[in-house]
Formats: sequence, C-alpha cells, structure tokens
Amino acid sequence: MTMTDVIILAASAGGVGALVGIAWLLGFRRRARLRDESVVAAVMRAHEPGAEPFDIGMDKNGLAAGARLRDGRFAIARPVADGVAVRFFGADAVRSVALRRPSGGPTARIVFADLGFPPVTLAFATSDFPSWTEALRHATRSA
Amino acid sequence: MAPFDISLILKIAIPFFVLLIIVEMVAVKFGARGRFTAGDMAASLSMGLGNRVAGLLTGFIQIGTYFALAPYAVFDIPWAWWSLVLCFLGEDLAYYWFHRISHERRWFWASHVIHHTSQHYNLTTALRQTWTGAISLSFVFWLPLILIGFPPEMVLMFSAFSLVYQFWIHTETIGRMGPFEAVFNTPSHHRVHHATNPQYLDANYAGVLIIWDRLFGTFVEERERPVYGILSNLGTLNPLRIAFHEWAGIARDLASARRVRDVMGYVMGPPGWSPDGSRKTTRDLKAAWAARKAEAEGA
Repeated sequence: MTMTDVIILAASAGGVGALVGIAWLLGFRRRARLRDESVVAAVMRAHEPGAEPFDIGMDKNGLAAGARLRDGRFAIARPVADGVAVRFFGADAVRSVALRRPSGGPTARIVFADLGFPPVTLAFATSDFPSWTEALRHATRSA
Repeated sequence: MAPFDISLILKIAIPFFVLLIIVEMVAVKFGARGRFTAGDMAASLSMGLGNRVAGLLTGFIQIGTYFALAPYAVFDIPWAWWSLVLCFLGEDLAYYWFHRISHERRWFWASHVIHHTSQHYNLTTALRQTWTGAISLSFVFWLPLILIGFPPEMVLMFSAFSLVYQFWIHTETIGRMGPFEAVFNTPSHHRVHHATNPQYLDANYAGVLIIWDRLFGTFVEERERPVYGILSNLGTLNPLRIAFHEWAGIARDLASARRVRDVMGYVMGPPGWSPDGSRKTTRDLKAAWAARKAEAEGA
C-alpha cells in the first residue's frame, strides 16, 4: 500500500462522510419504530406466508418486538434504519436468554448465534414478562 | 501491455459515482421513486470503502494468479479490435457464471451476500461490496480466459468496465427501457435480481449483457414491485457484522457437522442447505410459492 493509496482512501472516507451528511441534510434520517402490535403481526406474516404470531411482546421504546408462532417457533422483529428485520427461529438459534427485573420494569436480553443479528434487549411496559420470553428461556435451556 | 493504466477506469469513475448518488438523492427527495436513509447509506458506502482496502491488501492474489498462469496460455492473443470484442463477451460470460454460482454455492455466497444485505435499492447499494472476494478465490471463474490466452490486463480492464457499468443499474428511479432491455442488463432486470419475492429468486445474473440469462434460462421480467434484501434480513448496519456474518455461520455449522457429507453440504451446498432439510433453500421456497399459486388458481 503506497502513500498515494492511503491518501485516496482518506479522501474516499471523507467522501463517504460528505455523502452521508448530504443524505442527513436532505432529510433521509427516518428510523423505524415498532409501536403497534397489529403492525408487528402484519410484518411477521409478510415475512413468511401462513405464519401465525401470537403473544406479541413489545419493547416500550419500539426498538424490538417478539412473539411465539403456532408451529412452536419464536419470532423477533427489530427496526433497521427505516425498515424492519424479522427472524423466525428455534431455541437452537439462541445463545442465551436473560430475564431481569430492574426497577424500570422487566427486561429480556436475547443473544443470537447469528453474527448478522445482534443481541436484542426488550424493556416491557407491563409488570410481567410476556409468556414467550419464559418459553424461549425454557426451550433454550433444554436445547 | 495494456494501452493505458487500467486502474484509471475506477479512479475516473468514482467522482461520477458520487455525483450520480447526489443526483439520485435529490431526485428522490423531489418525488422520484426510490428510498434512502443515512444509516443504510453509511453501511453501504463503508462496505465499499472496506472493499477498496481489501483490494489493496488481498488483490495481489487475483492479479498474481492471472500473471502466473498467463505463460501457460494456449494462444498468444494480441490487443486487437477482434480480441477486444471476444474478451468483452468472454468476460461477461465469466461474470454470469461467477455470479450465478455465487448465489448457488454457499462458499461463494458468503462473500457475495454482502451486496444483497440492504433492504434499499439505490446507487449506494452498488457500492455495498464484499471484503473477502479475493481470499475466497471468487476470481477462478475468469481463469479460463487467461488460459485461453487473453492478456491479464485485457481481462482486468473488462472486469473494471463491467463493475462501472453495473453501478447505474442499482436504482429505482429509472423505469423500463424499451428495446435496450432485450440485450443489456438494465435497472429493471437488476431490481428483479435484488428482490426476495419468491418468483424473482435466482434470476438475472447478468453483468452487462442480459443475453446470458435468456440463453441459460434464468431470465425473469419485472412484473410486481420487488421487495429488496435477503431472505433472513440482517438486524444490523455494522459493517463488520455485514462482512463476516455468513462466514461465521459456515464456521458454526461446520463445528456441528458429524459427517464429510455435512461438511461438503454446509460449504459447497446451496445457501440454506442442512443435513435434515429443516432449513429452506431458494429452490424450496420457489416450489412452495408455485404450489400456493397453483392452489390459489385452482380454487
């Protein structure tokens, strides 16, 4: 790698920053949030025709939502930029499930085996955990 | 020897890439079809920048192999108008097979999937490129051209031209293009390629000429609006996770493999292959879609 290469790369990095800045200035900064169970259910059904999500649990800040599926699998939806990424999975796709009860309300942290789907933390507005979180933790321990 | 510095092709193209991205953003801002977010764009452009770094660090594997094999070529093909025409066609055919097998075999998919991880389809998506192309030996598909006798510089030149050509087809702002679509790869054809709609899976692998898809039976016309991304969309915009997630998946699967057949399947089988068939390949998904469609039409 020559000094010219380094200069070109540095200029390219500056160009990337400038383009992202222009996008931001033009107003392309929308971030999706999951606020509505019916929307989450619709997104999950669109992910796999015939899927039947139930017992949906929403993060109170709209950063994720989870559910069980009638066929025994679980589902997670999370916003990515202005879209939503959905995963249907079994217990073998999960590294760990941690359920905690800090003062702000119950939280569930799910760590996936897939590098492409970072850990998800859901903070629930309810006083109890949605039943799917307990079921997932139980299934993960049994797997 | 090449009649000019081949690296100039990309260097000259990059300012135009930047300009066209700005033009597309402004067009979308004022109502043209398309979708941008700063976060997705940052991820795509970071992957493009990383691709250049990877090229500087590992590109010697590809270039070194080309020049090491060139003395063993069957013919000594000169730089002439007829050899340029033949090399253009040969390079584009090699690209078709590279691209097709990059979708059909997980080893090559692990590098190529990066290009498909955005749920957007705009000019920055074109720059969302792999960091592991050279080390995964994706360039082997061009070696027949070297062994036939095309000068390595000529092959590299047409590869660079193909890369530049394919930039402009990553857009939703251009609709259909009439008779041009019969021969050339266009935004419409390539939107189909980036789509996850079941009927669009495994289609339109062309680089410059769409004739290869028509010839080998992989051409699909754009009819319904494409939904972009991959079947299991990533839950992240982190470039490192984007770059290596499928390689990590292969490593995880190999750790659980019990037989040689499983190892082969996980590495060289189609993406989604599993020993017990519990995961779904694109072939399974297309078959399920076709069955649902037939059932709906019969009802």
